[in-house]
Amino acid sequence: MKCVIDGIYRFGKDFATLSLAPNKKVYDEKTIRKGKDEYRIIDPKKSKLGAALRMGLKETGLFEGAKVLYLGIASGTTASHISDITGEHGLIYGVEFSSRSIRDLLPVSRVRKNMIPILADARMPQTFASRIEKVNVLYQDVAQKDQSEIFIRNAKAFLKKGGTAMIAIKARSIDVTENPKKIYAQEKQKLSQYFEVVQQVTLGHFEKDHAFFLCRMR
Amino acid sequence: MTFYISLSPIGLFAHDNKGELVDSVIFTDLNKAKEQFIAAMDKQQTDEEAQLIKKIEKKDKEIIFEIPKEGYVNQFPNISGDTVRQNLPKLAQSTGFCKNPSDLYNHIHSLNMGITRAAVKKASTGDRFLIHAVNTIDELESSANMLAIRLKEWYALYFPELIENTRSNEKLASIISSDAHRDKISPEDAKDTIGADCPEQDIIPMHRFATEIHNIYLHKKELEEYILKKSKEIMPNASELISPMLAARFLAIAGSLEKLSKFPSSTIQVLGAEKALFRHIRGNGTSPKHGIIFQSPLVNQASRKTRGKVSRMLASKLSIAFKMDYFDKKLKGGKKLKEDLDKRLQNLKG
Ligand SMILES: C[S@@+](CC[C@H](N)C(=O)[O-])C[C@H]1O[C@@H](n2cnc3c(N)ncnc32)[C@H](O)[C@@H]1O
Repeated sequence: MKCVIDGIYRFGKDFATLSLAPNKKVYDEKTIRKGKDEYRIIDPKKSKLGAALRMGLKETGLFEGAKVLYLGIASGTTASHISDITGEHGLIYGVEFSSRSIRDLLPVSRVRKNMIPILADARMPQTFASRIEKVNVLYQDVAQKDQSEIFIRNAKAFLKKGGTAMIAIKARSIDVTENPKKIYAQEKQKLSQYFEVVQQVTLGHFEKDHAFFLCRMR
Repeated sequence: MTFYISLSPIGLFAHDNKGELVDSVIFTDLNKAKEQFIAAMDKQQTDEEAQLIKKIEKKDKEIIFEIPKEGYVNQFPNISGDTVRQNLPKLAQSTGFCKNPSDLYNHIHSLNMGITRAAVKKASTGDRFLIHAVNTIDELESSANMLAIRLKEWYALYFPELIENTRSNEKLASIISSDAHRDKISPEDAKDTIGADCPEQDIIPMHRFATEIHNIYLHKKELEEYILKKSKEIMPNASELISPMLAARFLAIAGSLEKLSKFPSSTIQVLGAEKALFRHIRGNGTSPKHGIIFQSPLVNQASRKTRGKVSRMLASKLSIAFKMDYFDKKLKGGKKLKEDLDKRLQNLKG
């Protein structure tokens, strides 16, 4: 076991986070015990962050105490790992517009006090702005046609200068007929107007027709 | 000069155009904060907000809000919100809201848990209940049919003639459940049946099983009555144009009344034909002319030539009706829509 990226540990080919709430699984993730510590493996089939790490993502911009805005948090699968990384001094503002998904998030965020559930539409940052603060990291996974525009709008309003922004792009949400490579290039160009795109990985067989971008706010 | 107002988890703030704090109202406790946020969502005003506005208007300043507010200009983000979001922990300390950041974070957590729990509660509206009922109908139907296949094989060992002569699963379950003995069902057929003679002990479990299936069909009928009633309540206007059951089916496919109300009529026309539509987009196959709208007798009884037109007309009226039903059920526009439609259909016939 080795800490390879801030708060992320490697077990063979798997990546894991040190659980903030041991003995309480969030989804059906595998866990590894080392004395009092419990490590939770990030399932690359269920978490795009996990998939991106497996496909060679070199950094995440997350750190202990970081504040994070998570758009499309759903029931908190990936966010629970981010919650492990940022720890009890960090904070994750999680925005989700499906009341069904956020209902499943509530019990998770009751245990993990650094997860802040917000039922709102990420397209309308003015509706949740008064509930959050500026953040160090923006993470987005919403599978929408206008996902890059949503990302940029939120980054401009809430991401601190020099902050990190990660986005999972689903080609099929943007155009079902177009070649994914072409879509990635076109979205990258949009992002480049506001961010330095630090790394781009495709999610390979873990998530078909998905790319993951790690950007830094200019 | 203009003052900018923003809301935050710890209170309301007013800043000037240089981002200097000019006034604020700090929440005294969690409940006050929660009230403020819930009021803001419902576009209501709290005492705290009124207090701040009054103080500023006394100074004869123009106000720009960050959240849209009736009667005021708004701008997002505004300089007040930006400043507060940049410095929330510091502000919480300097305004005396709390001593250390962990208190602030506990407050933010409790506040948002409270707001979100209230929002989830409000989101479980009548349309969600109706959608589950519609989907349950389909599941009951397919379970009953699956079980009926087993019943037929089983009961045919004893009385195959009944199975041969009864087409409908529902009817079959009803007959066997009222009395499973073949001589009671049809003495004539029973006389020279090729089915095995069997003791009572073999008949009892078949009877028991048929009763179970029969009950599923009864349950389905009850649920249909519930759906009719509920659908008329939730979609009174759409129910003027199509049967309440079909309206409920539209709702179930859309996922919510809100979504349904936002669909353009072109989407309504092909709703339920998604598979064919995607095939068409990928370049295999023609574009579908209608989805479940075809279940309306107005469409399926129209002549082949006019069918496309009729379904387009109906879809366009439906899109208006769904909007009425979502935004204000008290609007009684459905009748008028139906009259309009009937007139146009008359014209079409010439
Ligand atoms: C692929 S799932 C996210 C999975 C999650 N990121 C994880 O890995 O645990 C996408 C989520 O984004 C939500 N979503 C889509 N559009 C949204 C929007 N405009 N605002 C907020 N949430 C949205 C969906 O409801 C869905 O729950």
